Amino acid sequence: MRGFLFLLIISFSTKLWAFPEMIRHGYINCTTCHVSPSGGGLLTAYGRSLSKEILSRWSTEGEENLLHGAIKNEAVINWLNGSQEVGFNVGGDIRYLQQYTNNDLRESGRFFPMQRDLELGFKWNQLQVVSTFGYKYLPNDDDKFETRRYYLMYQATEYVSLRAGRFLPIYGLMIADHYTDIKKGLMFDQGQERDNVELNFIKDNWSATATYSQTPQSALRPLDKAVSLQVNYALTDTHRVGVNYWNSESDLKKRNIMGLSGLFGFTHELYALSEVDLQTTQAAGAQTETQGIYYFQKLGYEFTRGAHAILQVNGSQSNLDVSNTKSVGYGLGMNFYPRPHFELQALWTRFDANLDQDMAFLILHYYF
Amino acid sequence: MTIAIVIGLFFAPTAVAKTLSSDPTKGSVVFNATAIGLKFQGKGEGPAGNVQVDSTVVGTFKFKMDTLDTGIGLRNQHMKEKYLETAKHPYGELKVEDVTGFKQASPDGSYPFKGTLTIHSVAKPVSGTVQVKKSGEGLQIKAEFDTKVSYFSIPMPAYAGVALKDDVKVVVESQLN
Repeated sequence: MRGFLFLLIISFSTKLWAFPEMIRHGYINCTTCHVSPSGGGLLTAYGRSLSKEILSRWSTEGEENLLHGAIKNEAVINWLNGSQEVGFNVGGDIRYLQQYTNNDLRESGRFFPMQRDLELGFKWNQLQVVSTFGYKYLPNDDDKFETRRYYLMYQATEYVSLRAGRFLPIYGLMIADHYTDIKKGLMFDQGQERDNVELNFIKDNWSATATYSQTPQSALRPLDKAVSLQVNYALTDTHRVGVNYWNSESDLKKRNIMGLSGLFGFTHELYALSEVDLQTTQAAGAQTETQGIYYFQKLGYEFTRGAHAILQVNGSQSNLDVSNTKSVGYGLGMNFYPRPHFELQALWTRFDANLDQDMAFLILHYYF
Repeated sequence: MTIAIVIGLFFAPTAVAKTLSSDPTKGSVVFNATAIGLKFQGKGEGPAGNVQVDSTVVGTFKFKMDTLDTGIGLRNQHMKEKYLETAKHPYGELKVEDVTGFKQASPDGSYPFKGTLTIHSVAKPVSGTVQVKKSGEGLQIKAEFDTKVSYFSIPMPAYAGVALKDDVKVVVESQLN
């Protein structure tokens, strides 16, 4: 039967991904658990603690720390986990993916490393500098060393921070599922990090991010400059809605995106993530515009601590006037966090409409 | 943290003093706390106590601090052992001293109230609002008031670089019979 699948994603990472699903426990912004305002990557000491206290199924004392608690000296731990006014933060992520695809043209599978990054941070009072160091997987070539993300961040006040560097700009749901149409389809995929200057504001129920960004200088890609804005409002302790705006221009095209996003924690177990975006593009010299819609809906239920069942819909129609640009995938899967530092994610997606295809993946993720 | 509340009155014309009691199993005490990027609740069983209702409303409620649950084990442990010290201060208390404008004859409505909250063995005046709804021969109440952690000689809660804000909102619900 066509379409069977398995997906595996395994990754090891130090503090890699953001988990906006934590809204169900009242974590309405990423910065409680992650150094980066956009989430993902380096964890704060608090985030490490949460990985043990509520994220993972099993744990032992100190297991959430670097090297799984092998370092016993508290001063050394604090020196390396970003909790000091002046000190380091050490982490990283390793993710491996098993992917399976089955459609009219082919049945294929592959297993490869998605990410192998060490991430280092240094904090000097209100200043922090963070960078990843890792290898990028290239299917037909030697793997390439790269620093996919680096930034300097200044915490100007309790509520305001300024960040500059190379990273994915904040837009919509900051989820790890970069293959989704709201990420890949809108060019917010991994590997599409940009050079940014970002202003963040977080206070009470409100958070806002304004960003100027441009594509890195490259002979392969035209220079693309963008301004973007995200404003979020926490309706309750466990419900947050946001509006998003993106405007960019290069020699090839203008692009405008407007979207709504939401995080909803109905109970400590049941949650939903939602985003819908309308993109308008206009090729250079063209008189007409093309409009497309991109959306992502995810419903999750933690049926026992650390184990989540997932239903999701991932879709888009890149040109609303052309029906065969429509793609919708209905996904069923699970996430399991057996112990601090480990995540296992499996998802099977059945694509409908113009893409008669099954796809599955398994991801193994190790974060340290 | 907390406790509380409040009351009922009955008839104006022929005001007869009436004593109403609250059942801890039919109510709740909730505090809402915040930090940067974090909002959470602590919820415990309802208050126990009596309220005397006639031309005014007076009464005292007690609440078991150890029943508060924030949903995270380590956070509960820190809250009870390091900050509230529930072993040394097992009860919170709310003394209701005045409910302004309460109408014994037609109790349904929202009223300002004043009282004294004792937490961590420190007493501080509080004021807020109480919503009252007649329920059989008794009253359903929902009282809300704001206070501060620092009022009660409790060190500001902080863990791994995340510090609680001083302001805390308290909501007390109870069935008085």
